[in-house]
Amino acid sequence: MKTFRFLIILSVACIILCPGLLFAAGSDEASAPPMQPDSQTAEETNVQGLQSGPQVVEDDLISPETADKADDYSDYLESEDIQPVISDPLEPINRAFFVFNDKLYFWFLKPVARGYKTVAPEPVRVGVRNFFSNLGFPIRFVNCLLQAKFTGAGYEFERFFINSTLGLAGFINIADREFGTKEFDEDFGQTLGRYGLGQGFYINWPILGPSSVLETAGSAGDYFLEPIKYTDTDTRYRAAITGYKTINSTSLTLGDYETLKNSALDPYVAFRDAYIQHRKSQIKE
Amino acid sequence: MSMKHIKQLTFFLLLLFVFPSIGSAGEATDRIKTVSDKIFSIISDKTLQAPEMKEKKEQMIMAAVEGAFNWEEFSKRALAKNWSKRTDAEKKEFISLFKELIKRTYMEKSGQYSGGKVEFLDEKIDGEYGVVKSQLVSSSGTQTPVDYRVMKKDGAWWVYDVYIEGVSLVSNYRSQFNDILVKSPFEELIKRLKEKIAKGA
Repeated sequence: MKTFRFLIILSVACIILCPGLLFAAGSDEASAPPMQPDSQTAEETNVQGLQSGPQVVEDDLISPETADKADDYSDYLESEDIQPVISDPLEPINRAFFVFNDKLYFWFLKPVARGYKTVAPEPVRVGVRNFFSNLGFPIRFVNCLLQAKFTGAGYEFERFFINSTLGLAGFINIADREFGTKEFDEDFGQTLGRYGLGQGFYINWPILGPSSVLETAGSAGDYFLEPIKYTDTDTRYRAAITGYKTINSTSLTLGDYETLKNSALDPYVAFRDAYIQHRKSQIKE
Repeated sequence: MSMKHIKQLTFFLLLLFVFPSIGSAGEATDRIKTVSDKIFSIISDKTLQAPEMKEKKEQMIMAAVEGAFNWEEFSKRALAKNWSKRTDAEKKEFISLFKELIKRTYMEKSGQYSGGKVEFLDEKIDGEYGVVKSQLVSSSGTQTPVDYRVMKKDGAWWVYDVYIEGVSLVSNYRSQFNDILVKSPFEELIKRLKEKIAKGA
């Protein structure tokens, strides 16, 4: 359990240090696909960018309108520069943990999830997923409020109320099925991103997987809204609950990890890019 | 289903009969829908499930995909600024390898198909470009948003990128290709693409 405590302390340290780190690394949002008028400069910026982290590109080079348009549709035609989605100064360590997590998945998580899948029928596993997802209500609700998404907060409240009662403690996602109220998947990482904090640099945690300075700070914040934290049990049981939650959700998505890994020329880069793109799109929503 | 839903549905169906034009979702959506319907009918066809039919099935799926996907536009964007430096022969080779790589991955995925459906949600058109939003609903109820980026070329809509859960396929490959190209020559990228395709066949 020492590792868990260590991770938590590290996360808390990150949340305290993060504002400094984030500003030091420069907001990478600002350097979204720039349109370089001169291909020579574009090339130079790119080389520099890859060596010394993201370059903050002068915003006045492009009018916001063109930038928007470029980002939306005609992005990345031949004349344009390629910016890395996130800087990765810890790449060697991150790659080592990527290999570690990959082994963890294939040697432990996948066989266990497969075994569990043969024992527990799909409706049961979907029910368990719904149950845990319902428990995530405080995180989504608070973060909706923090982002001033009041409709979202209202929906979340309604969902929690309906699913916890009619949905038998959350096992049946009745709010989705019968009332059509969708989940508003907000968390503290998205809240921080919403207020303009950049991702910082990429961190691939052992066991926990892809993250960034921003997302790590976000998870540390959400940790306090996790209902499991407040159950009056031993840390060991809490770890077991979290483990079960992971195995259950893995049993429903077996094969997804393999698909992305098999489709990639460099799986490490593919997962880094996919993670950051996914988070950025969630922040934008 | 709640009463409210049934009422809404009846009202909507009524509208459909009164104004037939509401039923049409837009040119770009229609084009993707045709392809997606075709693919779904191929993968759920029992006679094509047999192992000896695998190749024929793949050919049929690819033929359907060809109908709306523009691989040259995919490749152009995946290489970005590295595209214009290539000769015509290199471009041609790259397009076919890139297509093969994507095909190999998603054919495997279609083999695991176990029910589910596609819902088309929205279409936004801005001149020559547009987005078609859809979602895949699996048999267990998991929803995966899939957005198609489309462009108009020679009077028809072509898909040039696919976003799955907010992740652009083209951008994802661009990061990987660029990572290789800043360290090594273009030949190395071609070599690695070939190795990858050979390995998984």
